Amino acid sequence: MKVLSTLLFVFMMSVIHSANAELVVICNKDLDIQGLTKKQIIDIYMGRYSVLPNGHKLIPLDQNADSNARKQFYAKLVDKNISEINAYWARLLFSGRAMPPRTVKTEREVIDIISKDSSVIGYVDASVLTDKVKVITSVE
Amino acid sequence: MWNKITQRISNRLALLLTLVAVVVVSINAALIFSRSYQLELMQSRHNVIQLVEAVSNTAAISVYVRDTVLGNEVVDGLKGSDLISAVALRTNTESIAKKGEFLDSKNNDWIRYSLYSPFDKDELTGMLLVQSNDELIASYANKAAMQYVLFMAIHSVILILAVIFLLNYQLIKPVKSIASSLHQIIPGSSQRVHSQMNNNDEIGMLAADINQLLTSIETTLNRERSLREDVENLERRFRSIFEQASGGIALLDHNGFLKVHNPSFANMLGNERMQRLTSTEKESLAVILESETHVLKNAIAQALNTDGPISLDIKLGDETEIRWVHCLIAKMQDDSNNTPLLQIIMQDVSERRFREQSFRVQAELDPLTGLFNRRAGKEKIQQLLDKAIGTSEYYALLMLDLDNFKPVNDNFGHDAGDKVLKTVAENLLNTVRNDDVIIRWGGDEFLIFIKNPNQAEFDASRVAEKLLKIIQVPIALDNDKNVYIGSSIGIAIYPDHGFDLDLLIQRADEAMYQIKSETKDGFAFYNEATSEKIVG
Repeated sequence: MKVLSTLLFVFMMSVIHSANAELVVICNKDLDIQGLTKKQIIDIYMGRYSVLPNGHKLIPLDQNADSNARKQFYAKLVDKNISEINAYWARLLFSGRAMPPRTVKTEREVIDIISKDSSVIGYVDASVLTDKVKVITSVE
Repeated sequence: MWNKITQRISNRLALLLTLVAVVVVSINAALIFSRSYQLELMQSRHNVIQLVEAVSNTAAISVYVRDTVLGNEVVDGLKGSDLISAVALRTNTESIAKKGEFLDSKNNDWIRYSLYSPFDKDELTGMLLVQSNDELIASYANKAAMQYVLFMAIHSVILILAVIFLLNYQLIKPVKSIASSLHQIIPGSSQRVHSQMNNNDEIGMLAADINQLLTSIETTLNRERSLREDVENLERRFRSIFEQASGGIALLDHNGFLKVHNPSFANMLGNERMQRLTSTEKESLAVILESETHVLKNAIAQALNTDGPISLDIKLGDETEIRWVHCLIAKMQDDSNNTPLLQIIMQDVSERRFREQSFRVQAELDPLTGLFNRRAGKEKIQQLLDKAIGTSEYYALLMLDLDNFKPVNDNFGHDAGDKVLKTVAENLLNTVRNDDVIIRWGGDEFLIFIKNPNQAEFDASRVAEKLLKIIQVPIALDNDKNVYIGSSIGIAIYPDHGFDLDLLIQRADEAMYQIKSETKDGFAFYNEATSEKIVG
């Protein structure tokens, strides 16, 4: 009975976790930007441009290709699944003008890289945020 | 030449069908050409749009990221189709890629395909401009449409040829064969129409019906021919009866004018009368027979009013001889109108008439003297007396008896006596007038009836004296001897001495005997007083 109730709790927690998981776009805490719009984040991540109107260049970081966070990020950002995103980049890879964002393996690594480089932005689950980075916007 | 061609129904039909076909094919060709041209054009446009849609995603991406390489790839791809003459890919502000020359004049024909952000369907990011290769498309459409038209034309020509052939074979040829066969047939002959195809369709029926008609025409004509021959024979016979009849036959109209006559009729009337009857100023039959005009007119009027024939004898006299004809006149109804006609049939009865006359003469006359015999003479006198009734006419009856006649007979024989009687008779005839009547009353007795003396007794006396005198003339016999005879005459006067003939004869006889007994060679009137004496 105790074992069963424990398993039920873990399952429920995991459901709550995934439902409540909040992805946030983060940048270096020293970076002075007034907050990016969702459209600007899309344009940066989908390779349209990487230089802001104020001349600041931003490089997007992507998470592991199979990660749940990545899947959720693109679904929330552009309403597309991973294979659609892959197809998009496959067409652009041909010319080489626009490249897909660099991929890192873990969320920690995302935070590490951003905390050391002020031209990089990335996205992580809100639960793993540290004070080395600051949140630009939340992805809903 | 043209007429000769169109005269034949098959040629005319072929010509008309061809004309119709040309018209229909032309109209159809025009319609089909324009329709298929339009369809081809639309199809090509559609193809162009499909091509554009096929690359639209890639184009949108290339515009989104301003990827000119990818953009050029898209443009090259589209331009590779020969349906497209120019392609341009541009963002809202700048050109990404372009190939081919856009012709400004055909601005309206440009296909403008709006491109949206792959991640935001509301954000217009650029445009794909495509100009279709209209010249090529038009030439393709033209070619396709021409092929349709050509196909249809060939199709139509084959159809027309088939129709002409079938019409010719199924309809025109058999009808033509019947027509030409019929054309050579003489109506009434035993020839018949031969149908080329021995079939049971309408054409076969037509041929059969024509043959039936020909058969009925032939029978009718044959019947008519034999009928006509019969009628001609009959007519010939009638004509020969009419022409050769011994009797004269003629038709007169109701006024007595001649209409038809036969040769015998002309012969009977003679040339002169026929000319008057048939000349332009016609005269009626009654008028030309002068002596019989009145009788004939009456007979004609009578014939018109009765149903039976009227018969009468008329005299056709001329200078040389007298002919008698017996006429039958009867009314006839002419078929053509209602005025009645008269048929007149004449038979020459002269011979019979003359024979009758001679019989009558023989019966009336004394064979020796040629004077009336007692019976005929009495009849003649009676007729004259009958006419006298109611008039104031006088007649004298003389009874004459020869004196001294018996001795002549006795002495010189009967021939001498006959000679004396003949001579006396001639003398009597020479003495009296022609219309006086002389009768041989007995052996040597004669009766003389004198018509209408002016003064009965005086005239009768004069005649009696003359008679006495002439009888006293000596008569020469054959042996040159003369005989002398005398006569006694008794006279009775009508009406003084009686009205009855027998009485008058008796009284004349009495007077004669009185004078004979007194003086001989004298005459005496009947005297009532003396006669009573004698009788008494």
